Amino acid sequence: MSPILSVRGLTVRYPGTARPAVEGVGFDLEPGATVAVVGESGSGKSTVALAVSRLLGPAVAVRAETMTFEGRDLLGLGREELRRLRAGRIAMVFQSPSGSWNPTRTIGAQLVDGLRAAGRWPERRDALVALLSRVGIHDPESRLNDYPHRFSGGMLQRAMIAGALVTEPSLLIADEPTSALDTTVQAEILEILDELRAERDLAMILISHDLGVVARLARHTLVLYGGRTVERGPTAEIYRHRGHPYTQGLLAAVPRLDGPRKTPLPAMAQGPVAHSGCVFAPRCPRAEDRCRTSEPALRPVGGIEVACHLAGEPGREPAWRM
Amino acid sequence: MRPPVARRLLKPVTGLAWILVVVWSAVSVTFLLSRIVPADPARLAAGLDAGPEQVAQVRAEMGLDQPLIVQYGRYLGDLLTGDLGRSVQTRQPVLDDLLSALPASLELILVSSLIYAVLGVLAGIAWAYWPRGPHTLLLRLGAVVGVAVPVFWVGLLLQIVFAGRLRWFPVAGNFDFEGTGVPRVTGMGLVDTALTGDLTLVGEALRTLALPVTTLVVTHFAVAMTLMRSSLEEQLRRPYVRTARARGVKERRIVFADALRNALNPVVTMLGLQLGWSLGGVVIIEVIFSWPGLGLYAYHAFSAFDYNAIMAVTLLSTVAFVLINALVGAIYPLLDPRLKEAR
Repeated sequence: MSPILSVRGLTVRYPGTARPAVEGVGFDLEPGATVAVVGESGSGKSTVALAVSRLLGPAVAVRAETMTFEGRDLLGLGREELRRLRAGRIAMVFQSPSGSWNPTRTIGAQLVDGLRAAGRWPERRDALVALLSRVGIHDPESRLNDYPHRFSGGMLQRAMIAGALVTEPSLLIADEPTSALDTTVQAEILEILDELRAERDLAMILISHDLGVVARLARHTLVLYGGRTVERGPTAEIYRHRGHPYTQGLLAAVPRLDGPRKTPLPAMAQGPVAHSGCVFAPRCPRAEDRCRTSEPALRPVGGIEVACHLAGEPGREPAWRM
Repeated sequence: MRPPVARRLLKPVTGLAWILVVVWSAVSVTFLLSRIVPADPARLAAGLDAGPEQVAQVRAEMGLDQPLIVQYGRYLGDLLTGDLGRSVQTRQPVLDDLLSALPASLELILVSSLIYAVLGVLAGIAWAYWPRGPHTLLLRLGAVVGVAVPVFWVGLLLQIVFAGRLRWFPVAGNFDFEGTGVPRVTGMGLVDTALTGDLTLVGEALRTLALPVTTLVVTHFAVAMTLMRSSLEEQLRRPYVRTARARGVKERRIVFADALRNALNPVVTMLGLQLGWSLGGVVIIEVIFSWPGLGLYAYHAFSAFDYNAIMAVTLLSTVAFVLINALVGAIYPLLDPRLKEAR
C-alpha cells in the first residue's frame, strides 16, 4: 500500500534562530496507521505536527526533500488549497482543551464554522451530533449551545475530537491530545481516539511525551531530540532495543508498578543541544570523542534505525538501567 | 450557574450606592478646595470700587461669613433640591448656565467621539489584518502624530491653514442660531439644522464643526487605533485561532467572527474612559475655537473664581464620568458571555 503521507528531510527554521528547530526528519504513514513522534519539550515534535499541516505561518521556513499527502506536494500548495485540505482531509487535535476554544462563542458555532469551511454544512449536522454523542457528550443537541466554560477539559477535548473527525479526514494529527487531562480522563480519550481511528481507517500522527500513551496507540515511533531523529522504527522494537542513550533514559524514567519502590527513578543529566557532532553528546553518559566531532546518521541496528555511533556495538549495556 | 435572586436584585442597588458615594466625595473635595483657595469670591463679586463694608455685606449675602461646616451643609441641601447656586459672573442660576452650555459641548463630543472611535477601530483592524505594506507607514505616522502632538498645536495649525489662509471654515464659534433664525430645539447646531431639513444650513453647521472635530479626532483616534491593533494581534496569536485555522476556517471569518469580539473588550474600556474624560477634556478645544460649551464656561468660571460654577462643572463631569462607566460596564456582557451568566 502506498503511504498517505510521506515526509523526507523535513527542516524547519524559525526566524531569528541559529539552528533549525527540526532537521532532516522523515517518515511514511500508511492509511489507517499511527506513527508516534516522541521527545521532551523543545525536541521539535510539535513543530513537526504544525509543519505537516502547514500552520506555521509565512515567517517560518519549512523545507523538505519531499512532503506529499495523498499524492500532493504539501509545500507546493497555495493558501486556499491548504485551507481546503485542512477543512477536509487533514484534521488536528491540540493539547490545551480550554485555550483551543474561543471563550466567547458557543461550542456549536465553532464546530459549525469548521463544517462550513469544509462546505459540508448543514449536510453533516446529524453526523456531528451523532459523533458528539459517540465521544461521550450527553445531550449533544443542547450542549452545542453552551459556551466552552460550561465544559470540563475532558469534555472540550471530546468535542474537539468530534469536530476534527466530522469532516471525514484521512489524516489526524494529535498534538499531545491528553497531556492536560486527568489520568482517568486520559485513558478514556485515548480509547475513543483509537476506536474512531480504527473504525474510519484514519491515519494518525500522535505527538506525545508520554511513552505509555505511545506504546498503546502507535505501531511506529520516531524519537526526536534537539530537532533530529535519534531513533525510528516499530514501537515494540524500540522498547526492546533501546538503541539510543536518549531513548534509554526516557524509558528508564517511566515509573513501573512492579519496580522497586524506594529507589528514585534515574534522571537524565541536563545539558545543551550540541551544535556539532551528536546533538545529544553533552548529556550522554557514554559520549566519546567521535560523538563530539561527527554527527551520527540514522542506520539500521536490529529491527530499528538509530542515530548513534555506539549503537549495536558489542559489550555495551544500556547505560540508564539500574 | 446563576447567582441567587436576592443577590441579582441587590446588585443594581449597591451599584447605585457606589455612584452616590463617588459623586458625594467629588462634591465634598471640590467644596473644600473652593473654600481653602486663597482667593476671596466676595471681594471679586463686590467689584473693584467696593469698600470693606460693601464687601462684608456681599459676603454675608453669599453666606460666606458662616462657619465652613454650615456652608457645607447648606451647599449639600441646595444640591439635593437641584439648586446649584448663582454664578457670580453671569448672575444667573448656575443650572441654567449649564443647561444652555451643555448642548454645544455634547455636539462636539458626540460627533468627534463617534468619528474617532469608528476610524480608530477600523484602522486598527486593517493594521492587524494586513500587517505589511505601504499603508502601515501611513498608519504608523498617524499613530505617532496623534499621540505626540498636543491638542492646542493641532487646533492652532488647523485654524491658521484652513480658516486663516484657505478660508474654508470659520475660525471660531459654533453654529449661529440667531443670525440664521434656526429655532433652538436641542441646542446642537447639527441636529437643529437637520430638523429644518435645509441642507445648506446643515452644511453650515458642519463647517463650524469641521476644525474642532478634526482636532479632537486627530489627537484621539491614534490611541484607539493602536490599542485595537495590538489587541487584535494578541487575539490572533491565541490557540483558539490556530484551532480555527486547523479546521480550515477562512482567515476573514476568523478575524471577524472569532477574534474581533474578544479584541474589542479593552478598546471599549478605553473608549469609555476617553468619553468619560471628554467633558473635562474639551476645555482646551472650546477655548481655542471659542466654542460656547461647558468647557468655555468652565474656563471663564476658573478665571473669575466663580466658585459655584466651578463646583457645578466639576459635579457634572463627575456624574457624566460615573454614568459612562456604568454604561461601559453594561456593554461587557454583550462581548463576553461568561459575564452575562455571572450577572
